[in-house]
Amino acid sequence: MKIAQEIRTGNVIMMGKDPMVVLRAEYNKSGRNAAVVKMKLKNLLNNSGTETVFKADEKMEVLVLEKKEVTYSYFADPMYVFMDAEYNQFEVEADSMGDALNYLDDAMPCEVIFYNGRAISVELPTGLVREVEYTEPAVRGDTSGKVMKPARVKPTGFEVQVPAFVEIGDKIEIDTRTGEYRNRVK
Amino acid sequence: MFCQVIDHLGDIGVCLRLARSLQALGDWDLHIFCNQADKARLLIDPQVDRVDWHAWPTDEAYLQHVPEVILCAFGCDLPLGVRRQLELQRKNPALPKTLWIHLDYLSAEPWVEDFHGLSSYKPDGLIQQFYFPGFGEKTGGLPGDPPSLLPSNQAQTSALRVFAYVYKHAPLMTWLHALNLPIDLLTTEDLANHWQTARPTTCVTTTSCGQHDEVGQAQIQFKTLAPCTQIAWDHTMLSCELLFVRGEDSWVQAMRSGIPWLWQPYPQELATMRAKLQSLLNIMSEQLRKYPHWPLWRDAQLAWGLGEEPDLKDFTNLCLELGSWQAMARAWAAYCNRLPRLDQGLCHMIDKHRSALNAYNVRLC
Repeated sequence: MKIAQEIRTGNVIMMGKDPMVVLRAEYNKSGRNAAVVKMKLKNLLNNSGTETVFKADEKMEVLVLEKKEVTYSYFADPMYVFMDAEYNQFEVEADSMGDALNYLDDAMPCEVIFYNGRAISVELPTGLVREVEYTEPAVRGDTSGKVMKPARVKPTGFEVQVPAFVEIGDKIEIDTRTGEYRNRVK
Repeated sequence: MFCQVIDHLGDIGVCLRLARSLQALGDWDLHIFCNQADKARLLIDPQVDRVDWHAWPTDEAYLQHVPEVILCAFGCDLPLGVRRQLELQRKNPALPKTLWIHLDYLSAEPWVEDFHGLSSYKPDGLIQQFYFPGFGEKTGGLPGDPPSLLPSNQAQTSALRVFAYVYKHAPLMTWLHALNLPIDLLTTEDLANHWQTARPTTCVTTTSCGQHDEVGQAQIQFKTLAPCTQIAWDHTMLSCELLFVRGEDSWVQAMRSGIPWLWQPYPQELATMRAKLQSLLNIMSEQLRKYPHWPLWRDAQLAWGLGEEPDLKDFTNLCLELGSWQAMARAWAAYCNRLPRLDQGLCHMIDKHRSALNAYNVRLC
């Protein structure tokens, strides 16, 4: 059992008798330290999709599924193709890629997850380093790190909120579970 | 309605206000279950509030009748016995299904629109509807209700009438002493005692302490509020000229009143509070940016809400221009009072549930 806030994209949770793969998990704090998690899910038995919400401390059953270390190879519409060390190829549907699409890069290492022998989703490392392709110049004098601004990162153009001191060309670490900036990498 | 009192009576106050306005909208048989029912009963005005109050059921207890709607306020869990009743109801197709609602706290953050109205699927097959109040059209609406009339005894004294219901760590004395005005401070006995005993430590700097001593305690007259009904509490609040409020219930009523206010959110991580305050201020800016003193209110609200050292000169200027602040507060109140309402939104959700049930029953026939 895990609590809802520990669930990540690519996990498979049981909802009643249905195994549901998590395509997206969004965490937010409401009042008085309460928190909620919205999930976009896909039913692995009939491929139907749904959006649902949980209190962050709600317990849920997570299936332990087979995983394989792979690297991203290429996109053959509508499938994303990954390859393992033995050159076996695995295809994951675009609809099942979830937030992984925000970070996808050639030869990016990740894990493909299998359910009944079928590749159903991709799990990313929790932190990834990406180069800032564009962000507005910093406002002079503000180095506190409290003021945030949007930054577009290579190669997908995904937008991340970064502190004002981050500049074009900087490499930043992003938490792939939340899509948030972690730190600047030298 | 199920509600757990955590510290004071703010959460249960939201429930009582909601119950009152639901009853004004329709024929309801309302019951509130509260873990501190005796304490919470103090809020009730028997002339106005027609709600049955109950102690929190034990885990073994079953409700005599499973209600048509169950509302769990602010994320509280249902007692196990009631939860079991819902499970039994779910397994019997002949029984009408209860609409089980999770009512969350009010937030101005944009994510609320995406979360409002979603179903939450439980491992035992039950479904709970998540309801998020908010300021946007796609949220569950704003709690509270517009004050029907302002009491007529406003500003009868020369002193500034200030209402304060805040968390103890709020540096209220620092802010008030900076005004250098005679002040009548209406607050709870608990807070009055705290400030009167801890006053020297509330000063931010040595300089300001010196200034405060010079301004002196005589400038602030403490007037303590005895425990009272929610309606009496509202009347006291509305008789003041400046409101320092916290949490949700008093904050919403302050926003709806048209009286200048500053809000202190529930203490959480700084980044969380900043996001909540900034989202509120973004919405307020859209309505109030044409007012020349809006930047002063905005900056004072941010500093007050985050517990940061304020620009006391700006705050003083804001209070000296009280007429301007009142104009902004009234414009904001008019905006809030035009927004969709929590009570009406809930009724809409319940009507949809009833329609779905009727369609289901027709199919069964």
